[in-house]
Amino acid sequence: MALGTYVLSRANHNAKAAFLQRLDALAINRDGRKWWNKTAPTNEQQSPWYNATRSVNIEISAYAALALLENNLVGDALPVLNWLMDQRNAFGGFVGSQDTVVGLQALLMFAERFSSQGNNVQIGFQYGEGAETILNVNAENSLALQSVEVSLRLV
Amino acid sequence: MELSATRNLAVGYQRLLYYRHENGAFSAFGLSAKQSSTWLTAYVARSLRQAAPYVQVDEHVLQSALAYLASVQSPGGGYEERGDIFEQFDDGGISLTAFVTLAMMENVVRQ
Repeated sequence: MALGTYVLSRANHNAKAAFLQRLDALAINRDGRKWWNKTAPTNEQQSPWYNATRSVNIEISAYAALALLENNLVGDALPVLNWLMDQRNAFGGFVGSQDTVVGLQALLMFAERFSSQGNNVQIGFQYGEGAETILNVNAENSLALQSVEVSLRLV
Repeated sequence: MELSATRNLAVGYQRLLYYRHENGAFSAFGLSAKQSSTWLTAYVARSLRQAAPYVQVDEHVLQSALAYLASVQSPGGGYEERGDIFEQFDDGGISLTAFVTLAMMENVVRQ
């Protein structure tokens, strides 16, 4: 379903809108994360094959993210990307080689779409008595970490 | 870094050819496998097209893989796995058909 939606989007087929809608109805939303679950029977969750299910879910969600990005729905893809980021292991991969390929492809495409949008975001923090910091995030510095030290007395 | 990546790519390409069947298709366990895998053949066709800008890829290998895929298309337009099962989507061939279509689409060489 997710893979099908991605391919229809790539081909710009006129069924893609209906597929995107159906796909969205199947998603799980929680804590600002969005993903797709191919449910394993509960008695299998302890089995060694449980990881294989997790791997499939990563692939499904990654293809769904690719489909959304293909349609320039960057904002809709963000919760899916957040979920995918949570699934990465300590080495930067996911569960297996195949889900890692598709997962990285989705993350990469997001980076491409996001940085090419000419985003210009201004973030303001207000804390304590009238203290304020404004951070600017734009195409030039979107990959750089910006940090602000907040005086200890406020914490 | 770039050098070792292209070297790995070239070595991987050579190794891949060992898994190529006479009919142009591929399977996971070499020629001892009785059946060619639809999914894997599509996967190879996608990967080789992506690799082609970086290493020398025999166009005949690609075209025969695509020809094999075209030859196993069912009358309804879909694809079924004939070899070892590789994908686990378990959705009656929808994903497989989409995947093969993707392999075909990506192999339309832009003039």
